[in-house]
Amino acid sequence: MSRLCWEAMTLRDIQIPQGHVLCGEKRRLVLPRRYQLDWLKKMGMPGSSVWLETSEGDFPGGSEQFAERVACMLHQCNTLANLSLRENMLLPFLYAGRAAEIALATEALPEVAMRLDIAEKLDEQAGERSTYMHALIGLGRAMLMRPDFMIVQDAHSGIQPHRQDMFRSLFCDVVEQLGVGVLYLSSSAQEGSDLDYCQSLEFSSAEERL
Amino acid sequence: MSQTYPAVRSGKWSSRAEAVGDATLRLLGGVAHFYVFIAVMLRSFVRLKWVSRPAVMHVMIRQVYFTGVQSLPWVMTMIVLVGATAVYSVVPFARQLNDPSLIGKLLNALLVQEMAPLIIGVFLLARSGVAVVTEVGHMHVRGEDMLLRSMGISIVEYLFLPRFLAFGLCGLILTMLFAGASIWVGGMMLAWTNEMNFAQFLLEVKRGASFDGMLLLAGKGLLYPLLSCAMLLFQGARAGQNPNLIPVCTTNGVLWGLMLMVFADVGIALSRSLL
Repeated sequence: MSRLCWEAMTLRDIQIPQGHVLCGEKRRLVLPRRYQLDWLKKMGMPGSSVWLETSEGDFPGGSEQFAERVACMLHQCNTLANLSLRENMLLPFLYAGRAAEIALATEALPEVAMRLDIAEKLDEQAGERSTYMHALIGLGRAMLMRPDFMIVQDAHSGIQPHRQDMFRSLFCDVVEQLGVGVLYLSSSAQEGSDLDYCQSLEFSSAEERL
Repeated sequence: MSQTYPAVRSGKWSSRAEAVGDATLRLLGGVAHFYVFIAVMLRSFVRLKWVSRPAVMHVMIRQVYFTGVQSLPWVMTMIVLVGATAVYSVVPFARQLNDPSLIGKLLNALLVQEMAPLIIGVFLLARSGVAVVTEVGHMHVRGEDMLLRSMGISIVEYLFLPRFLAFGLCGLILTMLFAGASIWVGGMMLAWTNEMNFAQFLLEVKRGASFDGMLLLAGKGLLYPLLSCAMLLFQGARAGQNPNLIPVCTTNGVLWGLMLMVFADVGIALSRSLL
């Protein structure tokens, strides 16, 4: 059984205890935005304090094996501006360069795009996009990757009110369908994802406590 | 007052010495970082994983198109202007000295071995270099580097290496094109204005050419764009999350890229004279 693990770490003035997420579990860390970024940076660094335990061995955060099994949805940052939306969604496959996987992902892309209602926008250049579009691209990429875990950074905040319900139900459906373990990094306990967390840890910075 | 004056003076000197020391340390630190940056890029190049990655090749093809193909009209214009200037300076000078063999020697020494690599290097630096620093800087500011890392994509392999290789490739091809075409165009102009027979001009140029000179042209044509591009990428990566630093990094990248090319030119000239 795979586990997404992290060791105890100090982010500026707060201490995050060690923890893990099992496949299918949903856990949440509630911490301010810049602390989330610190957490994500630590995940991508060499000698990362975040790793994946699998039957095939341990894979540190930032490694290719880790990235193949753990999809990330970052807040307002899921596209490269100079690529098209299609290239953005296929980027992990185009980088890995395995022809069979590229073919499978390319084949699955139209269906995923239809479900996300972005089929006609696929060949547009990403440029500057709304938070909603960033979240959709991140979700679409995860649907193509079929990962074991998802790390979601405040995906539901900042989305236009009329799109929130639609995205919430879409997100929940995809998470249930993929059966992934979710680690949700949120800046608010009312982040609006409607996920059923088995654990939610809240941290506040010294700045906020003042 | 007379008692405090030496103290004030020595304090002033020590603060100046401290400033010089700090600047030297910063410079040495920057040189060390730049060296590591180039080493990491070269290691990534030698591992050759990038060849089998379509995403990396796409970036490289786009960069080659922007740096090489789209700059052709500008290079053509420079070929005509520089070719005309060079032949109309050299041919009358050689005639004055009544030594036609000087035409080939001077054109090879000045236009082919010195001007062509420098002009193309400066041109690439000014046209594509600024775009490269700005693009890389903006990617860092928007947090796209974190997105790439989260997908297990190497920043060096995806962002830096394709641009670096495209600069080297385009620099080499454009330099060779510039050197050859400018001589050709200059000769055509001489023939058109009845200054000199075209075949005779080409014969003189051929006499003055050497294999070493061609190697030097290719070496400089490859080295200058590579050095300047490495500096531009290095500066672009230093913008971090601060958008206000992008123009500063762009200026630094262009200036240091230019300085590197001049240093390399001086280094090559000195080593050739010593050998």
